[in-house]
Order: sequence, then structure tokens, then C-alpha cells
Amino acid sequence: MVKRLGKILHRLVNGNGGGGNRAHSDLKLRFREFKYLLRANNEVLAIIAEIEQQLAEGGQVGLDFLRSRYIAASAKVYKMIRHLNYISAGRYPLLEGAFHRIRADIDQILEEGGGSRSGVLVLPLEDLEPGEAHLAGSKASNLAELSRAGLPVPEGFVVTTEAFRRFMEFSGLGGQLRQAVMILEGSSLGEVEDFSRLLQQKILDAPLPPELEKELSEAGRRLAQLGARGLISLRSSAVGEDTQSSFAGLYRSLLGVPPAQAASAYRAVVAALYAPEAVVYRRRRGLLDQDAEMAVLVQAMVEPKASGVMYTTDPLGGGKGPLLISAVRGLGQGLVEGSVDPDLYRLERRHPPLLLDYAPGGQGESLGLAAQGLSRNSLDAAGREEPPLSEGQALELARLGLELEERFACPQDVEWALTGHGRLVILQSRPLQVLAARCGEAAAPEVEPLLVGGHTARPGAGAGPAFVVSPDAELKDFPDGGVLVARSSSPALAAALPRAAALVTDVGGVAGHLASLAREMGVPALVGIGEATKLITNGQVITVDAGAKRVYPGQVAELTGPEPSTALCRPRPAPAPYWHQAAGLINKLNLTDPHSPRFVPARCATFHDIIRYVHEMSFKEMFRLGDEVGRDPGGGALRLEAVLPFELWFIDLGDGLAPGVGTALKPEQIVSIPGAALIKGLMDPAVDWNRPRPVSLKGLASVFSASLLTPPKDGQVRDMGQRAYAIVSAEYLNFNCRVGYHFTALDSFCGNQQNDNYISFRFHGGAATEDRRQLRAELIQRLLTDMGFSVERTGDQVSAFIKKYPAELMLGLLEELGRLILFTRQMDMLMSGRPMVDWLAQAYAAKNYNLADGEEEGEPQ
Amino acid sequence: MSSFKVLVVDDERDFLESLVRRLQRRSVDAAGVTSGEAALEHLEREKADVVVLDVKMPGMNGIEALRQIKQCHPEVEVILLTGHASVESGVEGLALEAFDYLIKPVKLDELIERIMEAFDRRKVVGELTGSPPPDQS
Repeated sequence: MVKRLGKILHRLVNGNGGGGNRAHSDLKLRFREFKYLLRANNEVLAIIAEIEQQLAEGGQVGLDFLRSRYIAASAKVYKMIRHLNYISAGRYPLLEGAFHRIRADIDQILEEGGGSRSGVLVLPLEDLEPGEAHLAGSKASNLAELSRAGLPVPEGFVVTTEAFRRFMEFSGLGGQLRQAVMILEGSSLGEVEDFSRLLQQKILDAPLPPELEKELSEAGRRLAQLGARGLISLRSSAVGEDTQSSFAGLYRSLLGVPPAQAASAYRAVVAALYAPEAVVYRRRRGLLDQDAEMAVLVQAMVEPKASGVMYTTDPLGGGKGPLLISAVRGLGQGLVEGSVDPDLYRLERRHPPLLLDYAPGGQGESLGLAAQGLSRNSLDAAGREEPPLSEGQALELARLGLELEERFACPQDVEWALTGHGRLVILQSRPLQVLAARCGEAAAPEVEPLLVGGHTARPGAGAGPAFVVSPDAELKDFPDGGVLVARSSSPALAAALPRAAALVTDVGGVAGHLASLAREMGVPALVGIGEATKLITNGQVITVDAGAKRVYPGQVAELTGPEPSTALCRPRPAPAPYWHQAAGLINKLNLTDPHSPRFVPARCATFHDIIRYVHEMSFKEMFRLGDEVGRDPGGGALRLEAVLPFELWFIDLGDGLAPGVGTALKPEQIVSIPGAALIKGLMDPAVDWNRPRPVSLKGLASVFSASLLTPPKDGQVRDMGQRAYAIVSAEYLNFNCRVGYHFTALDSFCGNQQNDNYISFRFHGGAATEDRRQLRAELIQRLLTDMGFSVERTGDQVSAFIKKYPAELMLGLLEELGRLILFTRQMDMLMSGRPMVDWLAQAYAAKNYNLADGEEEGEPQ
Repeated sequence: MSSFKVLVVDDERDFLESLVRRLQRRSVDAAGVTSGEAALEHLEREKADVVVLDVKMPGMNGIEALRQIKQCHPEVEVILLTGHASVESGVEGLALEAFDYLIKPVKLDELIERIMEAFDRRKVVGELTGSPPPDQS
């Protein structure tokens, strides 16, 4: 009640009716829409980065992953269009058409994405094609590749992720899972365990869709005829399993299953997807539970004489150690579970391999098959004495291992078996995590790095002559194979990227446009390193190790030359499935240059294009909004009590001014972060604007009145009685000043979200002749460029922009702009010639704001 | 308790109860109903500032409920929260002036942040239309 009374009083004191308040509320609402727009922009960029990262890692995600990210992104892109149209009162009607066009294209690809595989529940291993890991999971897809290459692999089929999706939908478990993840947020490990047990039980009890039940049991029965003792095995083949995230041992394999139990075994393997350790593992790796997709590999059971695991190189040997084979008699389950001490063979990695040594283990019993499952048999002395593999078999196995390593271009962790007929078969092959030497990176070179830090936008190393982007440098001069060094991560640099050996920037994060482009084009990129443009000189040869976040002087051969560990560790990219094109329609950025005539809604071909366009236009609209308010401010404005050459009125959009401000506003009551910084600059006592300046006679003759150049005689502090307006919120400032004959506008967002921070500044006009106004504009252009803005000037108009700096840097710039506004005020009168531009720029740089010394002798004439 | 009222609408009773309880534990004045019809009745009896609305529900679905809420109570902000997201329902909901379209699971902190924002917007819209939220201070 007291609050409301206060509002009425406020209205009365300010002498404006409801109309003024309406305008204020309308402004507040538009500003909020602007904030929502900025946030949605960041959210879409985060989704884009996530998609790019997942696709770059290759085969880790299923069609469902892309589908879910597409749905999330589409809502946010659509929302951004709505926000922009709200702010601008519907000035962008064409955007919605562009959105629906792109959407239709993506829908079509996703629909065709399944292609001939749409609705396929069960697929024979030999029918699997390259690039179908999203359908069959990584394990089955690796085995299918071996089978295609003629390597010995047991017969089998895969129950696809499509079948999994049907199962989850049919049983209603999918929706329950999404809810559950929300309920489980922040819960203790115990609660997670309780819940995952409950969920697993639900899966074990859930009916399979009838068509799946039928196909699975038929295919299982057929396959069992090929299996030892008429049995089959079922193994997890989750999407993303056995890749960089190995999930080793977290999911289930069931051996010796009678075909009649195929359905319940299938449910058991699927249920293991939600075993507590799997849930916890995924959480730690940042893999979301709702993205987990499980295919199941069903194979004819092998009754092995011996089986085991082969590492094609010692995992602790930095890629240089020998090949290792662990072997047990019978089935290998105990070996992988760590309950048996296996026999060990070490072999030299060469063609043909050479047995270095053999060490018997301590196996006391072996695991074999029985009619309805598994049986344990204790080993007698003779059985214990006979090695599981003969020397010839070990050599043959090692040869297969090296072939696998070559095929997958990466050291392998192989599960193998030796059949009763003495035939070797491969049960599974997955990338081996080799420690001690990091993947794709050599050990740090002995050279002292020039720079350390920043964020890896795209790993890898590159060397070449540095090309430091400056206002004078033209991108077309960028040398092939050069290293692009820039202050900010501006998409304007995109044109040079395909020719760059590497990219380094002072400012910027991994979710930025340029970082995205670097990933897309495969350019090693290190962003936000701080002072690269200061410490690196143009033309200097440097080496960038983006993965290790280091920049070295000169060419560091160990990093850039061919290195075996790279070849060993980098998995060969799988062929991209057709539906990856849909990702391109979300992620690619074509609209990189806001000044191009092609920067229009009709040219938006991707979601990324749309948000880039909307983001750019939102700045324009906020500018326009400030300008409108400057012309007709309506109610709610408070005058700042400060001695300035113009009246400065504040409009608060929310938390920009201290609570309880009356009708008079004191500078310290401005709590808006950017607003306070600008005021600090405007009120800097070092700039004594209220003091006559030297005026060249020619300049004086060309203006209307000499009184502009000296303080008003009546002591009143104003320029032709004009007002300036500052619209503020906690993190926002729009400053608008039409004083005398010139116009200054400034729009800035400055807060904790570095990605949102920007300052946009415009200046034009003046009272002197055109050539003098232009010279002043040149001076302002010079000063802003020195401050790090990207600046454009046409005649007497200057516009400058800077973004994505940390808040403290932004605040320094805003304060500087306050001083600059006062320093350049009426300066057009002084602009007798171009040398004056240099002279004044030097004076400003020397903080001689008042042109105190050497006015006569210093002024060129 | 918060100075604003939140109504959660979701047909899954377990989920609804858990969410309402967790919101209350975080001092949000929250109530829950299990259908779109019940939500409209609730809004007639008792005001709410922000509605958190499930999309896929038996009977009146979330989109239809949104349409009717916006018709009868245009000042109420609606956040759609769905476990069965689709591009169509997102566009449809946002075109009907839903404040946001969120996909389950959403972190509680994030949901509360969105609710606060929606309430902040609701206050400003109230200033504009002359229907401020009921003053509870």
C-alpha cells in the first residue's frame, strides 16, 4: 500500500499522467524482451556447440540426439524472432518465413534419415553399412566392419536403436524416464540407486512390442542353429559405447542364452543401461541419461578352447610398448571381470610379429558351456600346464591385432576366442586408451612458450607467420598458411579461416561464431588468450598448440611435423550418415558480414544464420528505441544533479537506480553497472569542459555563434538548453544526446555473461563546415580505434562496436567514452586541417584533455 | 513464501507432487492440479501469476489449455514444460504467447529462474494494462 501511494506521489511530482507511465512500462517490457532474446541466443549457440562437438567425435550420437537438439533449438530460434518483432513492433515479418523454410528442410532430412532403415527392428550383422552406428551402436558397427573386411567374426544380428525406441514408447518408460531425471536432480547416490533399481525392474517387467517380440524370437531361433550347443549371446551395443567413452564393463553381456529366453535377455541388457554405475558414469562424463540409446548385439555362441583380451600396444607404454595378449582356457568372462589371473604373452609389434615371452598365470578352473547356460570345470594339472595358445596361434592373433589397429587407425582393445576347431574369432574390438602420451599431442617441447592460457576452441597444432588483424590490415592480404591473430573473435574473420594454419584471439569463448567456424573448418583455434595481439608481432613465425593452450615462438617441429602418436590415436572418421546434413542446417553460418547486401532474412539458410541476423538487428532496434525515447521521453525520467554541459535525465528499466530515489538523482544513486561507468567518465575532473578553448579564427567564422565556445555568461550549465537521456537497468545503458548540432548515442550491455557484453557507439553532426565536421569525425574514429573498437566512418558519421569483453574491460571503455564525449564536444571548431587530427589525438593520448600547454606553439597552422 | 503464486499442471501425479513440494521447499507459493480443465477452474477460484503447464495430457491438452488461459486471463504468464517435445508444439505454444517452452528434464534452479522472470514480466504487463498482480505485501 505504501508502495502504491509512493507511485502516485511520484506521478504527481513528475507532473505526468498515465500516458507517461504507459510509455515507461512499454519501454521496460521491450527491454525485457531484449534480455530474453540475448539469453535465447546464448542457449542456441550452446546447442550448436554441443552438436558440433558430438558430430566431430563421430558416431557417438544417434538420430534421437540430433532430433532432440533440433526441437530445443527450434523453440529458441522461434522465440528470438518473436522477441525481435516485439521490440521493433513487427519490423521483421520475413523472418518467420525463413524459419519455417529451414524447418521444413530439416524435417525432410530427418524423415528420410532412417531411409530404407526406417522401422527396422532387427538387422543381420552382414547387412549393416558404414555409418550406421546410430542404428546398431558402436560395438555391432565395429564388428560389422570387420566382417565386411573378411576378418573372422561370429554370425549375428543387431536389435536396433529403433527397436529400443519402440520398446520405451510402447512401455511408456521413455516419458517416465524424462520425468525421473528431473525428480532425481540433486538427489544422493543412495536415492539414485533406489530409483535405478526400480527403473530396471520396470524394464524387466515391461512387455515388448509384439512385432519386436516376434522378430527377435524368430531371428534368435535361426541364429541359435549356428551356435555351439544351440545357444546365443546378447551384448550391449549402446550408441557411443566403445568409443572415447568406453563404458567398459558397465553394460551387460549375457553368454550361453537359450533362444527361448531371448526376449528376457534383451530386457536384461537394456535394463543395464540404467544400472546405478552406468547412470553415475554418464553423469560424470556429462552424457545425459535421456540421450542414452541401446542397441543389442545377438551372436551365435562360440564354445572356446581359450579366450581373452589383446591390447595391440601396452596401454602404459605411450604407444611404443609391445603387444599384449591375456588368455584363459575356456570362456573369458572371469578374465574381464578380473577374477582369474590369466596367462600373458608379450609380442614385438612388427610384421610378422615376434613372441618376446610367455608367462603362465594361475587359472584354477575354466568356464564352459552347458545345455542351459554356463558350467564351471576345475582344471587338472595337465590342463593347467598346457598353454591356452600355441606360439603359432599367438603370432596369428597378434597379426590380426595389428591388422585391426591399421583398419581403425588407432590402438585396439580386442576380445578374442579360439574355437574347438582351432579357429580364431574376434568378439569385439574397440579403441584402446593409451596413457602416458596424450592423444594427438607430443610431450611439451623445451621451447619457452610465448603465451599460455585461453580456451581450446578446436584442438590441434599449426605454425606459420602471424597475421595480426589491425584496422589497417586487410584480410585479403592474409597469407596462405598464416596464423590469424585477432583481438576479438569476430565472424568477419571467417573469410580468412580456410587458409589459416591456426587461429588465436585475445577475447572470445568456445561458443562464439568464429569458434564454431574454426571447428567446422578444422582449424586449430585458441581463443580468449588475453594479449596475443600485443605480444605477437605481424609476420613473426609462431606455433600454436591449441589443445595444450600454448603459443610458441618460431616453428616447433615436434608439434607440427608428422608424429606417430597422432596417427595411432586419432580414430579415423566414420562416413557421415545422410542425416548429418540436418545438423548443417542448424549449425552452419553463412551470414558473416552484417554490411553485405546479403545480410537479409531471405538469405538465412540455417538456424545459425537466423540467430546471427536477429542478434545483429536487436542492437539496431535498441538503438532506435533509445533514439525515440530521446525525442519523446514520456514520464518517469529523473534529472541527474550534476554539473555537465547538458541536462542528463535517467529512465530506469529495473534496478538501474538505487531504491528510494526521490525526484532528484545523485550520481552515486546510479547503480546500473554500465551507467555508473559512463557517468564516472563524464564527471572526470580531469576534463575541464567548462573552460574556453583556443579557437582558430577560420573555424570561428564558420559557426553560427561564438557563444558556443565559451561558458554561458549567465553561469547556467547547458548547451542550448538540450537534454540527454540515459535509459538504464542493472546491466544495461542506452545513452542518447542531441546537444548543439551533433548527436551522440551509446548502447551497452555489461554484466556477468561475457558473451552478452557489448558497446555500440555512434556520433555524427556538428556546427562547423562540412570539412571540419569530417575532420572531427576522423579524430573520433582514431580515438575509438586506439581503444580497440571496430570503427566505421562515412563523412561526419562514426559508428563503433565492440563485444564479448569481460565486464571490467568494458567498464574501462565506457568511462573512457565519457571523457571522449566531453573532449570532442565542439571540437569541430578547432579542426583547421588534418594535422590538427594528429595533434589532438596525441593530446588525448597524453591525457591533455584541456589542451593546457602549448596552445599557441603546439597548434599546427 | 514468494509474493507470487505459481500453478503447476501435470497429469503425472508423482511428478506433480514432487515438483510442487520442491518449489514450496524453495519458498515458491506453488499449487498443483492434474488437468487443463482443473487448471482453468483453479484460475477462476484462485489467482495465479505464473502457470507451469505440461503439454501432453489426456483430455484437454496443454496447448488448448494455454489458449483458454490466455483468453480468460491474458495477464497470466504460462511456461510450457514437456517431456514429449516437438517442433510443432513448441511453435504453436510460443505463437500463443507462452512465456517459454522448456523440455524435461529442467534443473530446478533454472525452472525457478524462469518462473521469476515470467513473474517479472507479468508485473510490467500489469503496469501496462492496469491489472497489477495482487499486492500481498
